[in-house]
Amino acid sequence: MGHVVAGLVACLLLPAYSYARGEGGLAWRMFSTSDSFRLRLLATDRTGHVHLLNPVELSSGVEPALRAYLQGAERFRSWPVGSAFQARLPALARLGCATGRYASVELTLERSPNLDAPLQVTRARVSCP
Amino acid sequence: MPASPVPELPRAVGSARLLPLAWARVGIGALFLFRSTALCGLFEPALGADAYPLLGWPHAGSTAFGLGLSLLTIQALCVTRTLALVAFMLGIRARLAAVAVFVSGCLVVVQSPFGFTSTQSLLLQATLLLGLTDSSTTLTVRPVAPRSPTSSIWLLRAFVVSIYVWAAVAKLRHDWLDGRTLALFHEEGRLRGPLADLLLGTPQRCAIIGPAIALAELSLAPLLLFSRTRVIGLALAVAFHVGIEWMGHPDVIGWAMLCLLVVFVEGSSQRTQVADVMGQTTSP
Repeated sequence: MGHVVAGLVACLLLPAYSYARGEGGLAWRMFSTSDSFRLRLLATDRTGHVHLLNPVELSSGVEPALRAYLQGAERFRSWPVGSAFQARLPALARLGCATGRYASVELTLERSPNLDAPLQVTRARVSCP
Repeated sequence: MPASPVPELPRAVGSARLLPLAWARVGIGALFLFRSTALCGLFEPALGADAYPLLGWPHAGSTAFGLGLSLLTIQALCVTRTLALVAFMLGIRARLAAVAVFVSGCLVVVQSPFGFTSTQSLLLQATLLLGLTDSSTTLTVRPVAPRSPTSSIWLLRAFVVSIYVWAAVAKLRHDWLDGRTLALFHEEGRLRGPLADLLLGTPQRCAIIGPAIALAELSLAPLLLFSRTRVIGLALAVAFHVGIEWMGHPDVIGWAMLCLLVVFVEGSSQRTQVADVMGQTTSP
């Protein structure tokens, strides 16, 4: 009985849940997705000037995998991490405050789940302390 | 006068039947240990960059996007995962070790969400499932009696087959079936080398290979499940993983699948050998 339950969970429920949620990390979508993303980082200084920053500037002190994804993220990259970025966009934007003396930072994620899907745009704007 | 081997036969035969599961346990354990320690960096520096000193090891001052566990806790989890993996591979309280690997491994993965990969997911799930089955009845320093050999074998077989089916389902979309996704992978260098150039060199070839891969993954399910076609299924699966490994080096997922494919090897030939060794004969 235990093996049947384990089989149902591992073979059916976990992948189906992941598939239904759209991120597919547990649905064995490796080497098949054309999910792509691009980041745009804008910082406004204390005098109101807006600066276009390279997303790689957020990579100081972050985990190695995230650092790799931020490199070149100013143009579209086809890695299936769009949903991971989307879920943590405000926290990532807050990292921008540490890159200079800014009043606010806005991080925009443009994401396409596949080559035919329309772009999904998500923005996070944070005020810097 | 030597003791009669007859009473020992059922257990020995049972263990022989479960030998493929034990091989899978040793293989997955060894591969997971290799991938999650600095050993990986020695052989594959690019791949092992995230495994120094251990996979998911946090560094002071780094920003985490996970559960907010302390540095010390995550480091302890990494060490626990490694020690439990050694025990799992050697078959020392393999069930408990597998649960420890899974729990500590999941917590480390959740702590580093951008580092989550299908390879880690596969290694963690395979370890847990192998631990829950009769994989430590043989090839172990502490053999345990089998509980449910048939369901043990079929649990792992179902797991492997489900991976191929879900992978195929993920490819049943327009931009994969018309070859554009494969062309993109080739253009970006994620699939490279002479074989990739030969198979994916033109949009027309990509449009043939795309559906062919999806069809191959779908067909692996019946081919592997039915005993009459299992050899063909195994040959196709091995060729598939070797081909992808050659073109794309996708972490160690191909090697993990090859370790798991061992569970489709019948233990019946070993049964005959064991019986022969013990002076018994088996019916054909």
